Amino acid sequence: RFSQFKTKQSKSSQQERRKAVLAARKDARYDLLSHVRRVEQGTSDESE
Amino acid sequence: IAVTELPVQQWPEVMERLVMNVTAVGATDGIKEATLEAIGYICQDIEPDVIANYSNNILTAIVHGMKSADPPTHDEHVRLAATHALLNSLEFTKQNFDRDTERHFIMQVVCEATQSTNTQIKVAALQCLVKIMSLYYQYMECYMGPALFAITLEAMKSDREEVALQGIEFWSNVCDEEVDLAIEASEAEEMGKPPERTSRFYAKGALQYLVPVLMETLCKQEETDDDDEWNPCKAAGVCIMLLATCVEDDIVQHVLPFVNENINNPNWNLRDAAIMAFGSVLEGPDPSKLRSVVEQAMPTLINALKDSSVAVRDTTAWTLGRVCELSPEAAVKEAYLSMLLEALVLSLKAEPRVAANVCWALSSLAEAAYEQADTNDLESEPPTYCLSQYFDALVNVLLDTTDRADGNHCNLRNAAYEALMELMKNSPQDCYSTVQRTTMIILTRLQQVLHMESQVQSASDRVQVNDIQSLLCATLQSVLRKVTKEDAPMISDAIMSALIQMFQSSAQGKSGGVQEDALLAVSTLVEVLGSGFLKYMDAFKHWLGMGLRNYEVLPVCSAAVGVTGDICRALNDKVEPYCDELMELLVQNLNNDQVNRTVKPAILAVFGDMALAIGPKFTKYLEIVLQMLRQASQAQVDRTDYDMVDYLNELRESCLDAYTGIVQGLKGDDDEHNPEVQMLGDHVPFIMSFVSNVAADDEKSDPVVASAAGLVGDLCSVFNVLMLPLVETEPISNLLLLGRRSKTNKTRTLATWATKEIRRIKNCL
Repeated sequence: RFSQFKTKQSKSSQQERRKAVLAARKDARYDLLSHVRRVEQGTSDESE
Repeated sequence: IAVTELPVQQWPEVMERLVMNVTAVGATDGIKEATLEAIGYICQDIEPDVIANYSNNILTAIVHGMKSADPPTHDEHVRLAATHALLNSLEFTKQNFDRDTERHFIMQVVCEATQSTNTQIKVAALQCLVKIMSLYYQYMECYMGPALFAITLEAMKSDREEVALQGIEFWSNVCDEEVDLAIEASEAEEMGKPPERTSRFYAKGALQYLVPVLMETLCKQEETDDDDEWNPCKAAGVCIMLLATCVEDDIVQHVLPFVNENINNPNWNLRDAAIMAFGSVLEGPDPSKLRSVVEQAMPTLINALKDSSVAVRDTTAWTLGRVCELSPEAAVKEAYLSMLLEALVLSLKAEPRVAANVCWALSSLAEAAYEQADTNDLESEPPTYCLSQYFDALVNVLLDTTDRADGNHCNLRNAAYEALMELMKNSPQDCYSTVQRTTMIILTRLQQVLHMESQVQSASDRVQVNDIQSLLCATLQSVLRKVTKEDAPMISDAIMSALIQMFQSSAQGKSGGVQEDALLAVSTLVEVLGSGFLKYMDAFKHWLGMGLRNYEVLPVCSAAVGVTGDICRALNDKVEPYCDELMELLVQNLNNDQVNRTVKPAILAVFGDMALAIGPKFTKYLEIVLQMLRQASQAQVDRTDYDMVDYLNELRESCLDAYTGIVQGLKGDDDEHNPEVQMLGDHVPFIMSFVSNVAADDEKSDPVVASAAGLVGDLCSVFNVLMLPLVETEPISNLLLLGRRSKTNKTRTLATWATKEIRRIKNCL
């Protein structure tokens, strides 16, 4: 309960930084795969 | 001994024996007290399911010990020991609370004990009520009106701090419960089901009686506040904050009159209480309803930063931080902005506790200003924002604050660096020159602190130097993310050389925190430089390997695994010469039982990154990687443990991503698929049975649905009509339907794409 007194949500604490990096990494992976798949999707559109 | 033996079915008669000690005619008070203490310790330390069968015996002894009689059958020490034992037994006496008559009896005994003239017994009984409220909220209706409300309100008014604290804690707990129940109700509504438990809205009903007592308690601040001391005044502040979150708009009418009446009172206690009350109710009520009130309060709050009382200045700085976070429109309003910034900057020179709150306010203000900046395209950086004209000066004053000699008090140095990071992260285009300048200052500071390292002698100096190095690496990450692709190569040599120097010195037993932040800084540099990072690989691979081997320090190993994936994505096929060594370390970690399980999903995902990067050259690792993925895909966990269900989802998401990377990597970018992708043919049935298992799991997460849908699409794009029997199944159709209806854009996109791929191959028939 004590930790809730005058509580401040840190946006750049080590824990928050770690979370942000993990989220950014997932986004980067998704973007890269989307890029690869768009090429594939383009091919399939053409074949249709 | 009982805690050790009972779980292995030894000494089964112990509880019966202990009960007899308390209930036997002629047992002395000494025996009763010692026995009840023993029961209390056993209850406190044992696994609840081991002792649940003994709950009747235990309660008999406890209630016997707690009951008062006329004349008293035993002394107060016995009652106190019994009340403590009850407190420890509440978690496994559910079956007794489920039965009306037994519950009535327990409640009666506890309520009677709250009326004891012995403060220790009173406090212990109130602690029981606090815990009962959390554990058995659904049964409290018939006790709340006739007993609990009056008992706890009376306790809140007590002059004895320990009694008042329990009274306040009871209502803080009611708020926690009712906030959870409100969340459960809205989730149930979303799913079109009735909620399992419902709120009785006790907090809302009691508001008009609670608020006056809490306001009175808020005014009882100590003249010299001890940061480490928990007292009714602080508990009242927290309780008001929880009430606001729980009852939302209703709190405003009860609290605002007190705020208006006392915010300018000559007595600092009342001024401080008024500002504390105001800051505490900012979260919960609808922000649009509070907006005009907050705007009206701004001049008074800004002025209160110059109050003669340090307590008032501290509370004001905290409240302004809350305003910046929760009502940002009021904070960035043109009419107050320059006045607010001037006052905040001046207060950065105040006592560390005040200045730390100001740093936090500036962090929220930077974020609020950035979010409200005009930008034509959501993806791009806004050209300017309302803090632009103050930006350079704010950065200077924050850099000065990080250098304050008293920066290690009240977390001030961390708060100042964090504010600096937020300013950098939330900077528009026209502040870029300050970002460049800050990058160079941080780099210089990094070099200075590395130079200082040899002179560190005491342990406390070492802690400070580690903290500073960690913060500098973190600030470096925030500036690097802003540096343009053209500028990055001009500073990367100096940055990489400083980071490598840091790894070198960290090999001599430095904190994991520094190494983690240094690895995260490398990650950012990799992201900014792309394939340009290649020139550092020969120098860096040694330190990356050290990080991967350092499984005893989880954040370091975890960060090293992350950097490995980043490097694969950035370097593409240029990473190939380093893959043998990296793969060996990753596989070693995956096979090592001593490596924390949380690292393992990340390692599996890196296999996908590597396969995608080096394409057909990945075939030399294919057999071992597929074997590991097969093993991980079959993992099962204890479904009653929510953390393990989360872990399973994470593990499956990584397996799916790894399969995707392998399929896409082996297939290649060209229209003509590489022949190596056919090596996966024999594995497709297993992969699809894994996807089907995942699809049929009711507890799958949205990211798992997204990754599974993506993999289905990938396999269809390679194996075409051969996939039809494997994808035209109920679990896969349901999976894709769920994905197309997801709230997440990414999941919808992938599920729609996979559905189109299936349609395409059907059309080929």
